[in-house]
Amino acid sequence: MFTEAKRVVRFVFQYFSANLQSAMEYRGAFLSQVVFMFLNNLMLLFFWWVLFTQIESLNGWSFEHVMLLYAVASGAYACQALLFGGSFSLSRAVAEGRLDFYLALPKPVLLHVLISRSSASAWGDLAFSLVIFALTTAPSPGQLLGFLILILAGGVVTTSFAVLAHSLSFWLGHSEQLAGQLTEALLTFSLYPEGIFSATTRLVLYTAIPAGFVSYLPVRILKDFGLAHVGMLLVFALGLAVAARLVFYRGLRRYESGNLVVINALD
Amino acid sequence: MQLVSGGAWRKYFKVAEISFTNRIVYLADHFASSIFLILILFIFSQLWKTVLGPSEEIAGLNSTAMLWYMLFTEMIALSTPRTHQLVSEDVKSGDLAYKLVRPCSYILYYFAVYGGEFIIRAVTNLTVGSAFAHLAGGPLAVDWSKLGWVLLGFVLAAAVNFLVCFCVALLAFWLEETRPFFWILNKMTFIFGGLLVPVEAYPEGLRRISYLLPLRYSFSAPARLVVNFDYSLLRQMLAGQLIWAVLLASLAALMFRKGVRRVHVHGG
Repeated sequence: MFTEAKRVVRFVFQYFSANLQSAMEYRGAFLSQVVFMFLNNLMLLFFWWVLFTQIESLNGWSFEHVMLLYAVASGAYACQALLFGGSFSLSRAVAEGRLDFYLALPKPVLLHVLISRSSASAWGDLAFSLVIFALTTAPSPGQLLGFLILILAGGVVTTSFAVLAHSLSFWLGHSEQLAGQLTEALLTFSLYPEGIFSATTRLVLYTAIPAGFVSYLPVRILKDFGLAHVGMLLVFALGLAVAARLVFYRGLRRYESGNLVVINALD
Repeated sequence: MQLVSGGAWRKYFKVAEISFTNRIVYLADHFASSIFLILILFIFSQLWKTVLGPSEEIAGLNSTAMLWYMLFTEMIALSTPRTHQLVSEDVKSGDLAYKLVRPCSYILYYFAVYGGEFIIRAVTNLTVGSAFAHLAGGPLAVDWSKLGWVLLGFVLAAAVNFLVCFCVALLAFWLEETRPFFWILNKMTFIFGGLLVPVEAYPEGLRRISYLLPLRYSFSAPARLVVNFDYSLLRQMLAGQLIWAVLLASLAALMFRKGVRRVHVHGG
């Protein structure tokens, strides 16, 4: 089992490395995307800066909390986009019958689809996440490691949610727009403090649209460390990943080949 | 850029009409796209209720007015078609070669396409958004006698917004890929366009900068005019919109003239 896990990790890192080298081939374009994405995220904080010049606190959330929220959410998104970039276009692959390429190879289909793509601009999200975290907390190496674990767990949640949303294509056919809106909703809610939402909305944000596990709970862990919260986050991330895998493979039984002759690299 | 006079306008109206008709076919799709608007309005209705409560105000607007303000800024932002992206695609795909030989102005052609699509998107977003804002925040007191001024403001706002986007899009003649510039423009719109909060709430320095840039005249000013009509704001807005429309139209014409001489068309 250990050998198998090692093989999977090596497989993931080989794809990750190949995707990175591919992005770095056009170094100028790569760097401009990273820099622009960093600036793009920085500007998102502007609204909160203006708001916190007018108010002192937002139901217990300060500007520092909001900065941490952005660090965690953009970090989680970066983990998804860098490691599991295929999750963004899964429904198109399903609806257009483009999974044939992955089905023919002796590797786990879902994992293979997910890691086959990586977004170069997400390096900008990761840089933003780390810089904002460093500015907010001046972390020790241990805290930095903890932060990386939290954003990775958040990335697993966003990826699993995306797999669930995109797997609807197995039953609904073309449902890219619906999947896109669901994943957009998760990202959008992750970027607003939970303090503004009513109890009912929070219930939804810790269940159906799990923004709570992407950013709210990690921020709480960073501000007030508790093993119970860490356990909750890890169990939820793992549970959602298992559920996503289950739904994807259940849907895969309904998959019909598109009989397409395509160059996969251009997908 | 070709000069346009007299009956020549008719063909651009026809292009706008075709663009409008094309989008009517996807009416259900447009209504479905408004889900994102509802999501944003929902989040901000909760945010403003928490921040402002029943009686507090920011920049003279209470929580209900803030929600309606945001509906109008978002309506303009979300109704803006991605016409400008077509310039980059024209250059990359080689379609530009076919567009340039047509007996019409490249810029006015895309302005007409933009106009036709903007109307249908704006109507669907306004219908869905105002229904939600009414339910979530309460009604907006509208002075219907000022409707003409408000509509004029929105038409000019859409025109200025098109020209800003098109000037950035024309960079494709030099750089081909313009997406990173649109990311930045998008976020500058957040800030200097006052997309989420009126620019009047900003610190003095930033407020002055936003008054000088065109983005405020495309988003914040017309939205504020609807929720809080004021003749001095109307005069200031119309002056800003007209000045920027002339400046940006001249810049777009100049960029097009310079750019089209050096563009390398691939494919086709």
